[in-house]
Amino acid sequence: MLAPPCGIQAAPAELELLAQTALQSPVVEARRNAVATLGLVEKWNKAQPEATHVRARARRPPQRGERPLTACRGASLGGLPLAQLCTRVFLAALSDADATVVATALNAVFDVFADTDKNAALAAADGLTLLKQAHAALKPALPQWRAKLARDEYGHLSDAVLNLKRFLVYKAKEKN
Amino acid sequence: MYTDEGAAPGAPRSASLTTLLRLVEGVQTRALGCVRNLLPWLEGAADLGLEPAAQWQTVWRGLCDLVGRVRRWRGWAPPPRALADRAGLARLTSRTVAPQSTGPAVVDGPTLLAEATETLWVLGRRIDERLTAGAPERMPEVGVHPTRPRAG
Repeated sequence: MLAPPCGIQAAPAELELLAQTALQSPVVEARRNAVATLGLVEKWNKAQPEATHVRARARRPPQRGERPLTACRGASLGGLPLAQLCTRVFLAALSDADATVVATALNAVFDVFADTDKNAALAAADGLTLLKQAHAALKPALPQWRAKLARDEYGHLSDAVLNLKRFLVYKAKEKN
Repeated sequence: MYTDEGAAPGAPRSASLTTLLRLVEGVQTRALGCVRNLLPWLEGAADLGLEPAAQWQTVWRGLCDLVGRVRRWRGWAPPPRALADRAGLARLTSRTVAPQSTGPAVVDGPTLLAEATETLWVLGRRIDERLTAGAPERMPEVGVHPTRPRAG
């Protein structure tokens, strides 16, 4: 159980559900909200590191009608500690077809990995490479998204892309 | 879209957890709106010195449960018994549909999922605001975009 100071206890099954929603739901808003919520949960987790070892799923076989977690798109999420589960979700969401989901995932990445002590975790997940790929894909596509998205959504996206470039520069400096 | 308008003053002080859960279990978007409108009331309880943790937890649980149920009914990963689940959804919708003259017409899976996850996120943001309210504000550096990630 994750028990941040606010008193919310996020059960492993709930975190697993949020992760699956973020990666598998066909509803764009649901994916975006799930990524954002996981970002908050991980932020609380950072604030209370003694509660970090949350398992996404206890070692149990899938229940009737439940897909094995290895069927999740792009990542196996079963049995991961919370930090790793969130990292997988955020990085997998970078390849989401909807740019607003990607922007939300980017903001979660900025929140979670801004600190120097997270550099190793980011490197272990090959995060910088994925972030560079996301930047390369998003930057030239911005004019197209401008035509498709509402003004505030586009603003959110362009801020995230701008911040991504700075984040990459910042992390490159820290590496050297 | 969620607004605070009319939420806190209008929310009944005597709202019980049972009522709250019943709203969540109502699986209607209108009921979800009610749950969202109760969030400021829960926050207000904290301002009065009451500990709303159990209530936050109840709402969190209820919403997660709802997301799970929507997934099972109209899942993006249909289980083997998908047809049976669809029949179950039909029964459920016929049971929860409000009279035509007053209520939302039919429970719509995608809308419900979007609403439930948005309510979860709104709940999370409110908790986060409470947690960060007392923390010293970190000023952005001069010339730096306000939302850029900051070191340390």
